[in-house]
Amino acid sequence: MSIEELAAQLRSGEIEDTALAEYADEYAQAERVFRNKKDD
Amino acid sequence: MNMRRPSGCSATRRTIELTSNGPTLDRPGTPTLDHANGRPAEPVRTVTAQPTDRSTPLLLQGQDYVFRAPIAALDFQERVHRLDLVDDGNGDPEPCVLVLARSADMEMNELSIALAERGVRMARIDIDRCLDLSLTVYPEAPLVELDRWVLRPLLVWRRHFELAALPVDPGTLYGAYVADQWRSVADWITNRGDWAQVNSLATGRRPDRLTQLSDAAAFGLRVPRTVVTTRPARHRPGGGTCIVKTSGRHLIEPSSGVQHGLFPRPLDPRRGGGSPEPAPVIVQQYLPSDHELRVFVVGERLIAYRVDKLDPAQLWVDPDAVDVHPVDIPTVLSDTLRALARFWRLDVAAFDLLMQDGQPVFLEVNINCDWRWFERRSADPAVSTAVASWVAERFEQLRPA
Repeated sequence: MSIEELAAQLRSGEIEDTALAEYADEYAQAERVFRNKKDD
Repeated sequence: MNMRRPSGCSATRRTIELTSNGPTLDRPGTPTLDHANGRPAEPVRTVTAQPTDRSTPLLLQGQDYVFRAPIAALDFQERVHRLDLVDDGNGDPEPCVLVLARSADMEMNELSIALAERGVRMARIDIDRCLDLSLTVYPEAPLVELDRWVLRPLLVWRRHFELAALPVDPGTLYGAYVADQWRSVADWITNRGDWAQVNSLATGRRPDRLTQLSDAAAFGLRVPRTVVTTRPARHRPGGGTCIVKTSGRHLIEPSSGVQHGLFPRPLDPRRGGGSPEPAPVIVQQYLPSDHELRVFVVGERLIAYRVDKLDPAQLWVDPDAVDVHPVDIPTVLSDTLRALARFWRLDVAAFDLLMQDGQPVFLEVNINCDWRWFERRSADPAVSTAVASWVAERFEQLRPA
């Protein structure tokens, strides 16, 4: 699969691969953790 | 060359000072000989976390903000390549954007996804994940081996690659060694001329906060009256109310991943009149303002936000109380900011300004700027989109035909 197709899956939330789905969960959690973070 | 060691200085003792949890050549309390004269060495000079006879520095007083940044591999492209979800190509060096950052840099994590959508390979060296990194960089060719991938960086972006985030104790020999190696190699990577840089370190001026003020004034922007001093209580630039600011970063990291806020605060003339501060601080004229502006420059594009807040530290300590709205700025101000960005060789940066009686007052430019905070509050990913587009376009310009 191309990197463009994988990125499109991630954006759409329609993820076929289990490992990629785990990444999506980790990323969503990090988004919440860093929601108010401003480092400049 | 004069190699004589100063009297009373012992190389063996120096090893003890640097080695708090590593191998030691001798033990504290064990008499050692000064090899130059055969006498017992002088007592070891020790470093205290904060001397008990000194008051807490002004900028460390009342700062309650502590953020613990977890170390997590969140780079999308790194993950899908490690998982073998994507074709690794034919073995030729793969052109890429190389980012030196830290794992918690969510702007770069988002960029990794956005560049993947555009078919641009991005690779990552995170300062807080680099102790087990397999990395080879070739001086005679612009090539990098990162884990099992051979890459040809076309564009390098270094931001938030702060050595304080290295998960080592810098007070140990091991920690000092690791930090020094990464410092020198990262500086070399970000100064090489055979690949391009974002915010060109090799040719740019990378202005510190104080040089920024004089440069901005030279470009016709008004700036607050400012002094840098270890005796803040003695100074009132502008004659009225003043604030104290750090001359360095707004967040300091005494140990990896633990960031303490050093935010601007009003200068209380009753405090700090006695002993001098242990390090110089910025004392700056306080200018009442209608509102503030945060203006991102991305290439030639400017994206501006109006920021309404009650005090300078509110951005960090009470962000939900800050109002942020996209705004258009006057053409004359846009032209000045673009000219300043060109002068400093900045491709992606953020200007902070006050608006006072309709006129801009320059505060600072942030080279390691964060934009997702502003995008969340304005519900518009304009800067992320502009940055990804700019990087992808620059990458295509640099890609061999």
